[in-house]
Amino acid sequence: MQDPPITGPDDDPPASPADALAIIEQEQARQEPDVGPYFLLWGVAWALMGGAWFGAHQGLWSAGTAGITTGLLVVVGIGTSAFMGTRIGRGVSGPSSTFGAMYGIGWLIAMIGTGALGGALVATTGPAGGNLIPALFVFVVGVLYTATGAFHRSTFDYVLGIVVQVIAVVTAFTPVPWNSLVMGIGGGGALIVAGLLSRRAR
Amino acid sequence: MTELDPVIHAQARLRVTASLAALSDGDRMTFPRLQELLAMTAGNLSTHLRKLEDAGYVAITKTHQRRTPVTYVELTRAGRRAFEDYTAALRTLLAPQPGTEVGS
Repeated sequence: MQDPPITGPDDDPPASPADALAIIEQEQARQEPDVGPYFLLWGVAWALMGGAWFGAHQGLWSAGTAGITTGLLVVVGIGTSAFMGTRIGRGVSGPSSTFGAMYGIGWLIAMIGTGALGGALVATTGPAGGNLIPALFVFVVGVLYTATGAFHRSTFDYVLGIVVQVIAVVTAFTPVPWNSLVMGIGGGGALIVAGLLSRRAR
Repeated sequence: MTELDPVIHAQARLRVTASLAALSDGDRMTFPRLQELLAMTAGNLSTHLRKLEDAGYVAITKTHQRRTPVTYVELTRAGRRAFEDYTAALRTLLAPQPGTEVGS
């Protein structure tokens, strides 16, 4: 296989200080993790989950079908996210890869924990409490985005987290079956918009 | 006139240094990943890394992951410092010089 072409004359200095600065910015931007696909992936997943539950409440298909669809979407979403996470950090070793892995596992633990709390909610309050489970998940995701934004100094993630938390609270107070649509269209839509904005900014 | 570090002030080495400086403190990158990011040939990248290594700006570690040999590249403390100084010098050169500003 042939090597990729060498870009530019190697030993020549940049044409001007402005060019040198542009080279630095270009090289460093190349290493910014591309988080747009995560937002798009989960935005579509949320929209499909919301649609699945709304359809079940409308009698278009059974609650079991919606449940299986949700489970499959979550498993596929987590698997794809984990794969994308390893692609982003590939070839880099050191403290940030360790913390990156901890971050990913932290999300997984939070999601499993939220699912368990949802189960406890249904066990305590009966099936009606189950209507709060989507809001619970969305709220935890919003909190995690906000914390991520604060930690990584990203106003974008921070604001997105607050928007998602507001959508979670609105979902919780919206009657069935509309709560599924608020979660799917509102939450999923917010994530899709975030993904598109993030792609455009690159 | 602000002097620009001649070791860094060559396009290829500037790209290498900028890429490595984007890593967090203590992180290092494999040679193939760096080569992929910079789209340079292995020989070309090695040549420039050697110059940076000779200046004490880059540390190269050869190790094994399971049985596969892996070469890691990272900026040394001196390299990071030199890159920061270089960037600061660029910004000084680009800043409006006192006395050349048009008064408002």
